[in-house]
Amino acid sequence: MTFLLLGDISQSTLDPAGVGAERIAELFHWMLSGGVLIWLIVVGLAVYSVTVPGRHRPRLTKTLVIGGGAVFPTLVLTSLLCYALAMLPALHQPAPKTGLTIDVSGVRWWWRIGYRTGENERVETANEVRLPVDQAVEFKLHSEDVIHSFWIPALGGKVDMIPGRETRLKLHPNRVGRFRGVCAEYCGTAHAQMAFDVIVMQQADFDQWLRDQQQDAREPAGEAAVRGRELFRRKGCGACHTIRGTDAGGRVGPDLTHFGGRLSLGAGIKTNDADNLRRWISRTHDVKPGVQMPAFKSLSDRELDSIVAYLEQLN
Amino acid sequence: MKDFLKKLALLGLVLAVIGLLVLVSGIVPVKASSGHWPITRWILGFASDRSVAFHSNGTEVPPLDDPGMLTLGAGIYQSNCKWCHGRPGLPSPPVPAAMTPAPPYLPDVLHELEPSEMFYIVKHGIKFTGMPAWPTRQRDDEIWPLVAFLKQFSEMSVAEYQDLVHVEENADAPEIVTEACTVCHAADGMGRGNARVPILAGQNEVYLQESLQAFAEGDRHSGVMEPISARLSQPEIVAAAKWYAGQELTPTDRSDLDDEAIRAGRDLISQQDDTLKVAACSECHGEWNDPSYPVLAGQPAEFLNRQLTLFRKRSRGGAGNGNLMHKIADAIDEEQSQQIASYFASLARNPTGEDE
Repeated sequence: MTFLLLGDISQSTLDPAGVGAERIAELFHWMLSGGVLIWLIVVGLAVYSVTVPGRHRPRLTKTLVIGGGAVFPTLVLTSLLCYALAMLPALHQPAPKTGLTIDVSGVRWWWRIGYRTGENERVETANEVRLPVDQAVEFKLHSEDVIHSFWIPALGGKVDMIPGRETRLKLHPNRVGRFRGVCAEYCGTAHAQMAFDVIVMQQADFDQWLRDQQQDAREPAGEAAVRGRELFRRKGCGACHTIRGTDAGGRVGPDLTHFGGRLSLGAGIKTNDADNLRRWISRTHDVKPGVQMPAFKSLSDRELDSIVAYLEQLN
Repeated sequence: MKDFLKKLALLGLVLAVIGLLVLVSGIVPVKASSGHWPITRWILGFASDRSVAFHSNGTEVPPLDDPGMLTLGAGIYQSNCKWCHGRPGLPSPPVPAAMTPAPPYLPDVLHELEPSEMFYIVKHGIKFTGMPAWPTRQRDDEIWPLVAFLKQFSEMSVAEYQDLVHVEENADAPEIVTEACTVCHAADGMGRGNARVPILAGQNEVYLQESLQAFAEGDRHSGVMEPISARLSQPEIVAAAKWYAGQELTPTDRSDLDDEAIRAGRDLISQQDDTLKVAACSECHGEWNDPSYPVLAGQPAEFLNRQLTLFRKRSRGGAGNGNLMHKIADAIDEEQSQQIASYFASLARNPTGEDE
């Protein structure tokens, strides 16, 4: 079901959309070829030894066993190792200092994402990473609770997020599109539902998006949305969620300032639309068992509609 | 030997047939009017005493002379127990006296019971007697005040009991309030100054209504409030909620609170430093209160602390919003819980929320 909904969103290293993933895919294909070659020779020799009748010549046997069973695999594997090691420095090299730096924190079970927009300025969002195409981006990775692992398979390798430490990763997307990132280290009940969207955009679109993200939340339009904003405050949603430009300043849960513009909700698990949002707010634990947010079961339909209307407008 | 066994089996068979005939014919009276034979009464009584003594073993008895225990216990007795067991200093009421077995005249039996045994009987009731179990299994904290009261029951005079349950009446209060609520909450909603009882004066009307509803439907647990609320009609619930919401919270002396705890509590409720990673109390229980959330400013610290404990144990339901508190209560340890309770309690000194 999930796959149907997600459509053509790539989550495969073998369908690379970034420099890192390309190198990894390339390495994978070389390793696969080397492995197949070794397998064919070793198994071929084994088959030969049991199917050809009569006494085998000792000299030839020795050559074939040592040559095919030890020397050839060693040569192939050593060259693959050298090839792989030679790849590392370039992949590991930090992105140029002038480029984009993004902070990502793993929190059970979602992603806090901060774009560094100035010396000490940061604009925060959640569960959605947007990147400009053809630019190396530096990720600074943190964890607020347990070990998570940050992985966007289509763009590159994965790196663990370790509490109390900063790890880093460079990604260099080279194809526009929508991709899926996941947590690749088991981190508790909702680990399998800790994902995020990655959208690679043209530089100009990205710049515009980042400028929009820096804006405060837009004023609600329409009676329902205005009521929704009031309810959002009164029901205490702001205790956990920030909506910049309003009283809501909680840091426990995701920043919702531009929630309406995000493609999915619940950390990459559902399409962001009114129906799913209603279900998320009122039956949170049915949608994502174990999630920290409590279900707001007692909201009336009208109240729920108002809050949904308000949040969906926040693009 | 074989012959003997045969005879024994035959005898058994004959007795079984007779027993079956007696059972099916219906000649055995089940009427309460004739009471038990003395031997039946003795065996049942003995078995019940032994069972209670055995099962109440190892129950930890909290301090029973804490302030407020006795008055609250008397209020609970007045509300739940007097119908069958009568009032101190007076003879047993006539209707339950016609039961078999009749509810005992308490001064006769209480002196033989340890507090832990009283607790066991009140919590679990006794099978085949009219003694019911406490309406909820989740609220041991309500039973201990009753035990504290029962300990003094035998020596209590009519006048002393009257003193305990007497509350000043307010002629303006709805009849249902005077009848059902005032013995614990008082007509002015200040809980007779008892730290174990919530202050209802000035509480949100919607919250009060929804809470009574939740008690009535068993979504919030209390052996005292559930039976009372279940008896109330919808208009009575509305009237009671409206009355108490309209009362004014009178400042209470909270000088016994620890200033250090209050300060720590104030920092905790705003969650500025983010340490607990939970919603800040002040966002829902502060100035911008949703009418279905309770106002906490001025509530007794002991009551608030107990609610947090009950939330932690998942023994505190509510009208659909109770679940919002679960993760929060889980994140708070006992000391922090006490600090938060102290802070909210201290706001009674100055209900605007500004610290002096």
